[in-house]
This record gives sequence, structure tokens and C-alpha cells, in this order.
Amino acid sequence: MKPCVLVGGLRKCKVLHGNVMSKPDQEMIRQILAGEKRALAELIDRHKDRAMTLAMRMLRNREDAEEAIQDAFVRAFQALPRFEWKASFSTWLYRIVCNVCMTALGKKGDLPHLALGEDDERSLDAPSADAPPDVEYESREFQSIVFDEIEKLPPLYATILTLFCIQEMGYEVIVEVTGLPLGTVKVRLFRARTMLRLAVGRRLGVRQSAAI
Amino acid sequence: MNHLTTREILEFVDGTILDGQRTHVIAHLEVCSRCRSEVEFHRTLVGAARRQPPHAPTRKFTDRVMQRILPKGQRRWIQTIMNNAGGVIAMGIVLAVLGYALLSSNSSASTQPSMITEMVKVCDDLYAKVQEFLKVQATKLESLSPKPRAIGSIKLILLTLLSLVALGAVDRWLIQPRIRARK
Ligand SMILES: [Zn+2]
Repeated sequence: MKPCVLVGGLRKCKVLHGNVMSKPDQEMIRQILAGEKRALAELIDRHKDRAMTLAMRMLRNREDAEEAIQDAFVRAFQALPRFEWKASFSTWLYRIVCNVCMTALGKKGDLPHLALGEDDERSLDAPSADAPPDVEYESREFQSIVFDEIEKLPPLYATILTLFCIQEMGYEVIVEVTGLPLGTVKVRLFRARTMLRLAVGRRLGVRQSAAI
Repeated sequence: MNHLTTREILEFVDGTILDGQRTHVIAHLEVCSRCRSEVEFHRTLVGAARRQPPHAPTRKFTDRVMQRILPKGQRRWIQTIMNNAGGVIAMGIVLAVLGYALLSSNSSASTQPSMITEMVKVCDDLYAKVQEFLKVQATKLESLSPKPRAIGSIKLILLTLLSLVALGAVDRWLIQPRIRARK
């Protein structure tokens, strides 16, 4: 790694492939614990959008989601001196976000809706759906259809899909964040992706037949 | 032909498929265009989902979180003033009125009345009128005599202190709970 350079008053490190990478969370947390307010603001800015996306998928309401992540950040930073680095800071933070959102859903009586019953793995061993329609995958329209359909997924599936796709978490990290068993995470994620695939395929199919 | 299952396709796309199954999947994909396009479709879906714009909280989010996290002594001075706006305004009013009252007492000997003296006189007159109205229920009007200025000033000071207590109460029980609720 090349030596650190000062960029806009903040120390950032250049990595070998040329991208400018900001300080790792661990370094920023050390600075926060030493009383640096700027590091605190930077760490909040770094994680707030992803935390908000996760909370939005779970709660489906901007105000509730923002309140939930505000509580989650406060809890996380208050517990920061006791943080043990058994997981990354982001994993730990998103776990708190998940817990706060679950509590919020519980208060609203929406929890049964989120925690569906048995996760039947057998459906995943069935042959895949019909052949997908022939479309331009890179088009803006395709992107917007995918976005629409993710938003429409039930919160249970949208949450897992968000952790997997948007937060780019692996199964083990999703297990840590959600507290669900690995098998359940896999089944729910596969089902979420199958539901998304069917919904997007249907939308594209309708669009294609309309064009014909 | 038996097509690949959803699980096989997704595990293949994610690269988490076991080696034994991987060989079978690759062999099938070489001869089946339908499963090949299904694999491609799932890859594209994950790619498209990863490019989705995140939801962002409102603009002042970071400030609000910091305000809740940082100890009071570390908050910005402007936030401290804003949080205690009620008290600051009350103190300003009290100091101003006290200043007027004291200045008016000192300048009462002066032959030419200042503007401050005039203002205090108006307040005194107003107060005397209110007092008169209240007492008229119990006593005769002719038994009342005009109040000396010194006594009027003391009552004015007492009234200002009362207003300070009232403003302090409004700040503590009405304004501050609203500020806390907004956080
Ligand atoms: Zn096939």
C-alpha cells in the first residue's frame, strides 16, 4: 500500500489499483474513542444510507426507518467502548438496526407478517421457471423494473435480499446480522431471488407481448 | 431433459456450489440454452439489485445523531444556545426591564425626564390602574392615594422576577420537551 496522503483535511490512503480508500472503520473508531468528533460524523455518514435502506425494506416508512436508524446509531455509539471486534463494525451496526426494526414492528403488531412460518426448502429443488424473456439487461428501464419489484417484495424477503445484494454480505454475515440459522437464511434468500426473478420476468414478458 | 433446479442455478451463480454438483451443472449448461439464459438472468438480477440507489436519511441526520451521542459539554455552542433559547430570551428581557427600572429610579431627581423614565411611568400608571380596578370591589375610590414612584419600581422588579419564573417554566415544560421529541 502506498503511503497515506492528506485529502481535504482528512487522511486517506491510496490503494494499489488507484482508488482512494477512506480510513477503515477500526481506525475511525479508535479516533472516536479518543474524542475526535470529526471521525464520529464521518462514520455516521459512511453507514447511514445502507442502514436507512435496510430499515426502509423492513419498516416501509421513511419516518419510522429514520427514527429506527437514529436509535440504532445512538445505541451503537454508546456501546462502542465495549465493542470487541468479534464482527466488523458494519455487521454489528446492521444487527442493531435489525433488532431496532424488529422491536418497532413488534410494537406495531407487524412481527407475525415478517416472521413467516416454515421455510420449505423443497420448492428450491424444483426445476427453474420458464425461460426468461430476451431483454436488454443493461437498460435503464430494466434497472427501474428491478428496483420496483424489490420494493414490492414482502419485508421478510426484501430484507434478506437487501443484505445480500445492496450490502453485499455473504451468508455467514447475514446470519450474524439477522440472528437466523444459516439454513433459513439460504432458503429465504433463494426464495426472495426466485420471487424477484418471476416478478421481473412477468413484467418483461408483459412488455414484450405488448410490443408484439 | 431434466433442467437444473433453482437451488443449483443460484448456487452456481453465487459460486457456492459444491465441486461434485458443479461438474454436473457445467455439463448441463453446455447442452441446455434454456438453463444458460436462466443463469444469465439471475446474474443480471443480482447485478441490477446491487446497482440500486440506496435510501438516504434526511439532511440533518448526522447532526441529530451527534447531538444525541455527544455529552452536553462537547456540543456546538450554537446548539447549546438554541437548546436554551427560552432561558436566554427570558434572561435578556429581565435584564433589560431591570435596567430600565434602576435607571428610571436614579434619573427621577433629574429635571428633564428621559425616555426610560417616561416608559417606567407609563408602566407604573398601567399597574396602578389595574390595582385600582381590583381594589374598587372592596374599598371606596376616594380613599386611594397615588403610589410613590419608589414603591412602583420595586413592584415592577417583582413582576419581572415573576415573568422570569414564568418564562423559565414555559421553556422547561413546553419548549424543551418539544425539542427533545423532535430529536
Ligand atoms: Zn436445462
